[in-house]
Amino acid sequence: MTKYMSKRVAKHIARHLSKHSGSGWAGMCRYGCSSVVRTAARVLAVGGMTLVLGAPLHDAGAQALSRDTVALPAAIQTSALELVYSASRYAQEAREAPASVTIITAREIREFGYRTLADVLGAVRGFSTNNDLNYEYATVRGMARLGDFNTRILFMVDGRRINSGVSDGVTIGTDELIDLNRVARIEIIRGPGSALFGSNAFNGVVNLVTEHHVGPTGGARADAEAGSFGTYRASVAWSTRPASSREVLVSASARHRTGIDRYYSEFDTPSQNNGIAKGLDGDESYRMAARARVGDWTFNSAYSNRTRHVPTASYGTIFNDARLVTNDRAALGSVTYTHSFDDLSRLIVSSGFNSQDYSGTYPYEGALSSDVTIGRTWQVEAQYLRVFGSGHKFAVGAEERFVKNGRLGADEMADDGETTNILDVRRSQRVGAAYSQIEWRLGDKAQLYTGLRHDSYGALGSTTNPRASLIVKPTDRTTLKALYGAAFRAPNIYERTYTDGMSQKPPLQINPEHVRSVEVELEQRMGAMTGSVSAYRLTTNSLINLTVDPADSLLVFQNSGSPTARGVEMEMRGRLGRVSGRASVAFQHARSSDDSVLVNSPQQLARLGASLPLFHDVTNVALELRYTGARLTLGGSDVSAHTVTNFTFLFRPHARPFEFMLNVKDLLNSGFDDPAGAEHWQNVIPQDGRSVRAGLRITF
Amino acid sequence: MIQRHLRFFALCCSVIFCAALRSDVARAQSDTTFVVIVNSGNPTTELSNADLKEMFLGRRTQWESAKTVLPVDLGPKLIARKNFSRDVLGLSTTAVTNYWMQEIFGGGKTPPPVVSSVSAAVAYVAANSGAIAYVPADTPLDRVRVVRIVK
Repeated sequence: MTKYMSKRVAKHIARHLSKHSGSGWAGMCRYGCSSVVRTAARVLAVGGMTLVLGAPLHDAGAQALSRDTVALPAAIQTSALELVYSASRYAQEAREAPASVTIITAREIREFGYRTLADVLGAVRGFSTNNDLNYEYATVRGMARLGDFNTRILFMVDGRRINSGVSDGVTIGTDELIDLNRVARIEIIRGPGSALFGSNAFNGVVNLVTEHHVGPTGGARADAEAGSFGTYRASVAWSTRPASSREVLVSASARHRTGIDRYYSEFDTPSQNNGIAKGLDGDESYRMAARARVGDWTFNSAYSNRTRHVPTASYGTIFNDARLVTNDRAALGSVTYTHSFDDLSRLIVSSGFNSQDYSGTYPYEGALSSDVTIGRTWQVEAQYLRVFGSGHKFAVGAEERFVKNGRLGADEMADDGETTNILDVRRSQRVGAAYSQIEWRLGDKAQLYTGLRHDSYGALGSTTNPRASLIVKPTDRTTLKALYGAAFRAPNIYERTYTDGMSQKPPLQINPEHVRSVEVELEQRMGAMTGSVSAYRLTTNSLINLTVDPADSLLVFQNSGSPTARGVEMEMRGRLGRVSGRASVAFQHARSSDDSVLVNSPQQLARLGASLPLFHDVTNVALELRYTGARLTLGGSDVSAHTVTNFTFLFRPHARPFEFMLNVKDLLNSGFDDPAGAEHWQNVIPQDGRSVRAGLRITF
Repeated sequence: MIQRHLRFFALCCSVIFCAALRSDVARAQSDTTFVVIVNSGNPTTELSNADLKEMFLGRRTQWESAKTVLPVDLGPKLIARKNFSRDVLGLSTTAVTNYWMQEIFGGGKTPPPVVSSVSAAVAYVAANSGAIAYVPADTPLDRVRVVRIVK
């Protein structure tokens, strides 16, 4: 998942690093857009619209249920029980969870018209995102490392990690593994989580919980969308549930974007098409998934493939050259056995794999560089959960991960056709870990969580990370959380081994980076609303950065820099009359070791999302405002603060099987920029501005 | 550093485990004063603890007459719920609640509906031929029948 450096690329990167030492970076890429995907997206889109015209009528109740794919029984729903898995590695009430938690449901994804996982994260308290027109990046609580490919957040699908075994990266934009239409809920945990999950759970954990079936008892769903910039999107899902213990779901989706011609003043010369990247904004992807459950056994699989033209001429490539293309492929497969014993203790054993592969071509004067990352991680894990005494919970687990022949490769093909191998590194890595957590119930009003996890990386060493949390509920409506946690991220195969023999060398020694967090959160329910205030402090140690070794001027990954962050977040969420939604503000103060402001780290964030059903729920309108404070760029200037306004309209007539959606992103066309990473000549990357899309959904 | 963490963790565990055990002893004292009721049209006259456990944990879904079993739970704070969980299921209400949370999250079985009052439980059983509930022994009963619990 990383763009490996030919000598000319290294010079480009080094130029930035020498000016802005300490700024993290990394790269990714791909090649060759497929017209098959474009055609498939268009056919599905047109087909979906045609189906609406002849679709049968449906029961209104079933329609309502199918909209929210989390099939909770009514009695539980009325008690407003909000479940979360990622805080403790077992399902529990979010209010009692030992973490700062946000849950985004399928209903919210639909009503607010979220398009990608990055789009969802950008709406969440304490999160900000940026987009370099190839990849999207999430930042938690201002702890930004430009272009780190989300390596310091653990991403999971149904509780299984999907971070790359080679580079730790995860794709969250149009290259995401799971289509949002398949997501039942997204759990977002702020703060360290290594005491449960190990490496990568550094700044947070994001768990995508996929739907188990379409509608309450199975059915089919088709979505078709068309929008600005030649965007088409279509998806289908089908499921059957012949018995409560047996169900099958399959889904597929495709997305195509033609894009626009983009202008960059940095390349405004006659020999570079006057700075216009023409026809180089294309983005095509498709994804498939299947899930089946038979009794205690669950089978899960997913695959995604995205090809992206890159208009920004990143990594010092030739501007306005259509050969700059990247391709990302992600996959997972797992089989899980879950069994409840007579005493209701529970055993979960799971085995599977995940991969995040990448390839890309990079045009340079006189040569075409291509590179590839292949990283497949095999994983076996087991967990035992038991309730004992008067309600204490004990969870213990172990896991083994094995990256088999993780590959980093790069070639350079000269104009005369001669190909030179620059890099061919293959490494395997084994990680073993064991953890335990006890949830002590101290009467009806308090719980204490204590947890510990030990990870062993063989010859690379080991690390142990604790957590402790006290949850106090002085009243039925008030919750106070005091949270302490530690986390680490081990240097990945890329950081440990990469060398091109010319400009970058592998480190002689590199150690895991660490973070410790202390947080206090007060949550108060007020009718159907819930308000929360939290204050936190994060202290990192020995972050892994790409730096220039002054002894030989070679690039090398080293432990350097220990940024800290502290901040306050406030949020209101729930329902006020007929309006539902959430509003939050975050004040975050992230500083590097020398007390300078971190690049790409906004000091203020404000989010407002309100959804209002109208005309007896036949229509729904949702408005969203996202304010992001000023951010420092690598060039030393500021990207000014901006507010993005999004609007979504849904029309879902009763007793009809279809739903119409209109979504406008950046309604007021704010025209904001995002700071660019060191791999770009540009200091900032201008974003799309206003875009419109319309869609139809049919549920059978 | 690691040893310091481990010592701190072990100390915390020990102190809290002792406190928790004391709490258990204090709680394990209360009366078993509930009855199990079914719809008056249900021919069942007696059920074992094992039968009830299977039904209330969603592991048995049909009566002998092939009708669907429709259990209903009382709110977790009602004493009859605690007694039923302890004496019939042999489990704490927290263990049962935890079991259902894992089932819901995993997309498995659906828990019984929970009613907030005893009268609502009686009304539910009276209205549904396959329903079954437990209520305090002194509850006025109408259109429902008490079944005998055999050990």
